[in-house]
Amino acid sequence: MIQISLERRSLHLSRKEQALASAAAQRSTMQFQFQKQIAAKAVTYRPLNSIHIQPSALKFLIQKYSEQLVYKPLDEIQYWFAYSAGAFLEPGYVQLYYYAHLLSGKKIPPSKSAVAAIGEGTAGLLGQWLYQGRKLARPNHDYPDIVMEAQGKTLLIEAKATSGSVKQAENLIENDLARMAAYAFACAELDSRPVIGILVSTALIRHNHFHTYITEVVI
Amino acid sequence: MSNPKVISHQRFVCQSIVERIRTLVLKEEAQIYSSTIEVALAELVREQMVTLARRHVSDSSQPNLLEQAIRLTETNLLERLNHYFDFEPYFEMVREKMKTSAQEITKLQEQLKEARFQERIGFSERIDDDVAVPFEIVEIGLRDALEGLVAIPLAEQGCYLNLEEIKNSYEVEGAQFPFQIATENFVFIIDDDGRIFVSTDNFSNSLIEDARGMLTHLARRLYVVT
Repeated sequence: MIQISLERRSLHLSRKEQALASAAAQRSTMQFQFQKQIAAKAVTYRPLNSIHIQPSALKFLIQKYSEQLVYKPLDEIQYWFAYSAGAFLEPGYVQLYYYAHLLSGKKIPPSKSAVAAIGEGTAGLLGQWLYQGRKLARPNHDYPDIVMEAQGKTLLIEAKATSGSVKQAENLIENDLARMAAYAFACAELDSRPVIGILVSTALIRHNHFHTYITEVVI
Repeated sequence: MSNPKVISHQRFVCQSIVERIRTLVLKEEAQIYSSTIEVALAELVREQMVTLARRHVSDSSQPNLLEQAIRLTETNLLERLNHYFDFEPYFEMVREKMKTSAQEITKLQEQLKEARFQERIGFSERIDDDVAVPFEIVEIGLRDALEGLVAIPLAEQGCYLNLEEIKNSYEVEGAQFPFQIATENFVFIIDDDGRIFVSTDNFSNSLIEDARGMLTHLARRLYVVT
């Protein structure tokens, strides 16, 4: 089983903050002002109960929600965690120096596609389990990653993922917040239903333990 | 708890578009361009292209697969809407977005035809006998390296899932779709469109047959008409 620990916060943006988000999405210099404004609201994440999912169920959801052309991303990331844990010194693995050309004092990175695919599958899972959403569309090469319908609302879900720290997962949300707020605001003006923007950022801590931050942008 | 109703993904997206357009018409805002309708239409057109390509259905009156899918999607939606709606501004965008996907699907269609002729691709089997709701068991992947099996209910209007009956025999994990049923050898996933999936990665032929038998048994008990 894969354990996913969760933290969630909900941001209700005023008209002024929505306008600031729109400006920040257009001009990078406004990004700092927007982030400062959001930080001043001091809306902290609150932990939710962890969830557990069978790897084959997550595999199914990755096929449903990811557009990454990657074969067996869960196996790929498990292999990388085995390497990172030094397991390749044990019998049964490929000879060493496979990654030697990548060594320059930095951590060996896993496949970016595999990490992204797991992030998208996890976001789809949470859309279904936490929000009772149903997939309306999985836009190709477009923003956001998933559009869902849930109890009369439209959910716009953007997935992020990292094999780095939990803090990095949190930062990925901060970096995309203005874009999501601006987009959700625009969609809300054009949609016949209430719109919620949801940023879901997952840190792959171990092959069987992820930590996910969820930020709801409520218009 | 009553049996949940399930409908196919295409039907769900179709219903959502129709409801959204009706709301816009009621509010006299039909001229508003909704980005949600646009992405939902693109999803429907892509699904339609995949369905046509899998079935090798071509229409000589249409210049290509994308146009054929767009026309079918439009006809289907207008029938459900029961009044005229100008989809063209949306389809202009869908054409632009789906151009590359259409090229890819068209190319793969020919390769699939050849692979099927050579019997390299997994088969699908329709189960009609002695069932409340007909369904299909589809093998996923190449014949000698099946990655999974999936049961798909075939009722046009959707069907119900008799989860309570299943819970009498199996431990069903989860409070929402997708539900999970873990047995000694297999994990079955039940999703919101009624599909039941089981992974068969690295399974022996006899284990795949066991999985198929159990999947068929589950689908027979799960899919009901009320």
